[in-house]
Amino acid sequence: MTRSLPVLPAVRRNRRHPTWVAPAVLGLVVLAALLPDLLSTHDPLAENVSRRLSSPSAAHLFGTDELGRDLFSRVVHGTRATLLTALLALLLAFGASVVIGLVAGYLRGAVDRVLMAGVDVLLAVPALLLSLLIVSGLGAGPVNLAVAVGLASVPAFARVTRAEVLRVSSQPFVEAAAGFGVARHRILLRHVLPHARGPITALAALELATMVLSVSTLSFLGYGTQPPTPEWGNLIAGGQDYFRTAWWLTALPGVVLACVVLALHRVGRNLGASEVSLV
Amino acid sequence: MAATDLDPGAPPGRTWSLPAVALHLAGRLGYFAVVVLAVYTLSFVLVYALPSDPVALMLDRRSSGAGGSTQAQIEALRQRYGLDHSLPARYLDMLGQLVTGDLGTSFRSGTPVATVLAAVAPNTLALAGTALLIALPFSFLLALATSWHPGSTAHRLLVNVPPLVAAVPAFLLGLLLQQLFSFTLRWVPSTGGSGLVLPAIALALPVSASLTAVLVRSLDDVLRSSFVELLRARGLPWRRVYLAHVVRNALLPFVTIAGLTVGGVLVGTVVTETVFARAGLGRLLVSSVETQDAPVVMAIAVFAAVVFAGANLLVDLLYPVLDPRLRHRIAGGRA
Amino acid sequence: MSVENSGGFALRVEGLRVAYPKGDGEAVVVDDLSFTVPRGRTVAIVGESGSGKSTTLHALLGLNPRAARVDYRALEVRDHSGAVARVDDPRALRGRSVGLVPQDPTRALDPLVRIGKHFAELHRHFLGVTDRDESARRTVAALESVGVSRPALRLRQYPHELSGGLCQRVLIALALVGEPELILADEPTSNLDATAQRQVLDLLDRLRAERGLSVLLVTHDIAVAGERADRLLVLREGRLVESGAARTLLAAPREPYTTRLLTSLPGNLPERPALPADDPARVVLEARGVGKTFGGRTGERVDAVRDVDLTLRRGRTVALVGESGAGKSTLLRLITGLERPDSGTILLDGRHEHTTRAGRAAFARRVQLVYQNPSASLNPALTIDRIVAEPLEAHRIGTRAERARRVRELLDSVELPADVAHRRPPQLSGGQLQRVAIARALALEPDVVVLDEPVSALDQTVQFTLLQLLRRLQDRLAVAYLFVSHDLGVVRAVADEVLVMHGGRVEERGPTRTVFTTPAGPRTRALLDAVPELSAAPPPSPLVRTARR
Repeated sequence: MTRSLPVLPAVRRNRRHPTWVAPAVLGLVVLAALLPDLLSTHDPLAENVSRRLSSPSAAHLFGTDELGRDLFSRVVHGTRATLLTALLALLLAFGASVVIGLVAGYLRGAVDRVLMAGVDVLLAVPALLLSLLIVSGLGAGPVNLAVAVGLASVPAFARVTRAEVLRVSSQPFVEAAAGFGVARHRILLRHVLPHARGPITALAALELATMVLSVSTLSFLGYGTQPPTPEWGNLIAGGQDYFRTAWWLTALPGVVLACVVLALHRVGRNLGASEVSLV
Repeated sequence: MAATDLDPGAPPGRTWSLPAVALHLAGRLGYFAVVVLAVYTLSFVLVYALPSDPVALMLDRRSSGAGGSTQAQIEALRQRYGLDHSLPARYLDMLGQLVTGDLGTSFRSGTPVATVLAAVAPNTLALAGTALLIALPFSFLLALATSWHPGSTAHRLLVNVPPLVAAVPAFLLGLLLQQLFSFTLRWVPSTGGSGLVLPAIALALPVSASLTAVLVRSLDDVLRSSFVELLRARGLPWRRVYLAHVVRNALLPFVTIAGLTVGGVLVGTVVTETVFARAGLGRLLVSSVETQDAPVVMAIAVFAAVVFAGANLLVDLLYPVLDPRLRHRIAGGRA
Repeated sequence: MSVENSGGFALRVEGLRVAYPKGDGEAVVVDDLSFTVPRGRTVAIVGESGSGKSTTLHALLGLNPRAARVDYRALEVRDHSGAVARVDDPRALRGRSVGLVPQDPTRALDPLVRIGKHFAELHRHFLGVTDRDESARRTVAALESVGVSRPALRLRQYPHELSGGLCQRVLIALALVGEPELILADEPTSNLDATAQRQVLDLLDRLRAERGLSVLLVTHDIAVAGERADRLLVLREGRLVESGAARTLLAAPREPYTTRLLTSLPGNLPERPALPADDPARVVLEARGVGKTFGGRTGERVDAVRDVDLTLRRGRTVALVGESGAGKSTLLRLITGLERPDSGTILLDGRHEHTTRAGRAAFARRVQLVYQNPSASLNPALTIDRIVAEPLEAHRIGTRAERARRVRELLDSVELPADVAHRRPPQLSGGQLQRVAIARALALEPDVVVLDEPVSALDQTVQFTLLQLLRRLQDRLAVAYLFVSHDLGVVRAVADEVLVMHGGRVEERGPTRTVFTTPAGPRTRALLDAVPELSAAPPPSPLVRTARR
């Protein structure tokens, strides 16, 4: 007996009025990741002891850190590390779970049972624990971190993919196609995939939000990109020691991080996923 | 009525039969064992089978400043920790020891892992327990308040709260709470790890977000079902319909998630204990992963697996009590 | 309010209007509807989908969604003392003045609550009865009065343990706890088996007679309405088309729409000519001793189909009739090759079987299935021409241009305009979609078309034209139909031979006319009894059960 899962697709086609805010935020983030120099105001690594720990001002939008480095520029330059790691993780999770989900959902039978039994067992293990175990095996570093975060979310993602494939496959129009003799691979390509694709894409947007959170959490714990190279999680971790006096060191990168996550949620929702699958 | 015999309905409800229940129980216990074994195997593979050499790392650390270490020393240590055996042999040996309660010896401190864990486990269990005690009622009440009037402004506004909270990373939440209550408002002592409430809240908030979202969704699903409309049509007051019928039907998924939450809270201590500088299993896990203290990492993973698999087991056993349809299926085989 | 009126009606509505906000304006679902339900009588609201009939019922109890805007000039009910009261908030009517009997009984009871508790809750609320034994005693009496067998046992049962018919009886009993004067019945039989349908309607009639209740019956079936109601209201797109005494309205409808509803009753299709005893038509498909069992290992084994023989001939229609769970669906899945039989053989042209590769290909090409719900059986993402061409592509028939020509022919043969070819399923109506499905089924020039409840999801007027189309196609193409239906009115109109199934077996078979005039088995008789009879004028008085045939 399999228990129903918390993160099942729950995808509903209720497109609310699409807002420009979320795509705009994401556009800025992508720009920061691709061309950080365009947005940053200072050299992210340039130290200036005379201006250390100064609060946000016109000269330093987000203030400066304990070495006098401009925090805004560090956040801008940190985007790439965070986002790349998260995207790599997503790619890994997406690839593995779409294969597992498609195979299980389409072949059914024994293959499905074996795959899903494994997935179910892994699902009972919290993703953070899985990530930590993988990091402990592979060691720290951004690539290993991406592997850890990506693999840890394969079970949930594979479940959802399979559920989508099953949902579409059980539609009468798929059976009808089989009934008048359409070949299996054609049914999969022409009838099943196009209908499963939308919900899975929406879910990928939400999943990317989760990845950004997980990556920054593990970086915060010290397993990701190592300072002085900036990354959102390690920026916040670095600010932790000073946050009594310099609140901006933790709060402002945190706000940026939360905004990005929210924007990804919004986009995922506009694509048709529901709120529940993201928490 | 004439011809009632054509419509006899289902046979009278089956009563509980002992073998069926025992079979169900055995199945659930088996699943529990499989989850724990899977976590053990997975962590074994990740911690021992990967190419990094824990002994070399350990010697590096121990001998720092005291010159290099000889090959003989390395061999001695390998023997002491059983690392000279083949992987499958070690897997089975350690599994055997685990079953008898022997968790091995820490690479880092050289003390038995059981002692290391026992020193900090109570801290973590208290934190996780408090967080659960906060999260469960809080999310329950918040969800109930959200869905009380479907379609109302309050509903539309409140449904956005859980995703908003879920978007803030847990470590940031902890830092901000600390900032606000310890430094700005000075309500709670900031250091020493004596305050339990603040870390517990920081741990409970993200968990509450998912719990609330799930319950709100399942409440909204139940609200759309036709029996709710019928109950209203019969003239029952809304309070009665909502509390006695809607909430009860919506509770089933909530209980499932609540079971999964136990694992989430326990693992969440990794972040919370780091942020609040509290001693505990979470922080121990973080530092053990860093130093590749394999026996400690494995022991904590297995301990966590026992806890959350146990919670899921409880939920599974609770489920048929809550849902008569499931009871029916268990009692009578597959319907 | 006028006292002299107090004995006259149970409910009076004037100027009811329900609208939903839509874009900048609003969509009016019910517009300026006025009617009266006389005491002790049944009034029926008849309408096809989208007529606003269910919305009207909901408005009378204040059950519409929040977004709906409900207005009325006057809403009056007669209360228990016989005085007429103006109603400002329809929610006040719930339970005590007006009881509701729902559409889908199996989903209308809280699945986690025992039957007894459903009653206990109402007893506490309406009557202040808190004593358990007292409540149980009342419940048993209430269940007995609505014809529930073994009522004492039912108290401890959960809703999922009861059949649909029993659930509906329980729901009627629940609606009566608050001793309302008026019962609103919202398509009370549409999700029930044929035999249960008649019983539930009989029960409502009996209760009305015994307790002096009034009934407002909402139905899509003008035959049911005519058989049961004293007055009819014909609704279309939220507006009242026509109303009047059932007898006169049915005998001489004033509005063309009503006339169309009446002439589109399946009974008005010309009857099939009787066939000679040894039919000369060629046999195309033959099933011998076919059986299929599901389950096994842990659960009980269910014999879905047992030892069924079936012969389909060119240009002939065999109808498969039975209640849900009788094995109809399994049998048609076996015939079309979607499932393999555990025993027996199915032969196409006396030689092909599913067991060989060539046989499967022959079946895929020459036996086609048309599903019940066309909007689900057509891929919503593809255009109509691609949908119809898909079987041709799958079997690599013709060039692209030839296939396009064939698609045009096929759409033409199912009487669809050529411009639907470039539209997609969501843009078409249910009737049009079923035509597309039929066109697709005919693409490979099959010998057998299996029709699984092909018209049951459609409105009656659409049904009628589609049944006519199916006949014309059969006359022209000489395909064999296997027609699965629960609606015997439809079956009589289309079938040459009828198979009545029960519990996976064929209980009765024979030429349609013979089965309908001289049914042998009790179940066939029960099924036939459930068909509302209208065509024979004058319509029967609702208070007197007419002996049929």
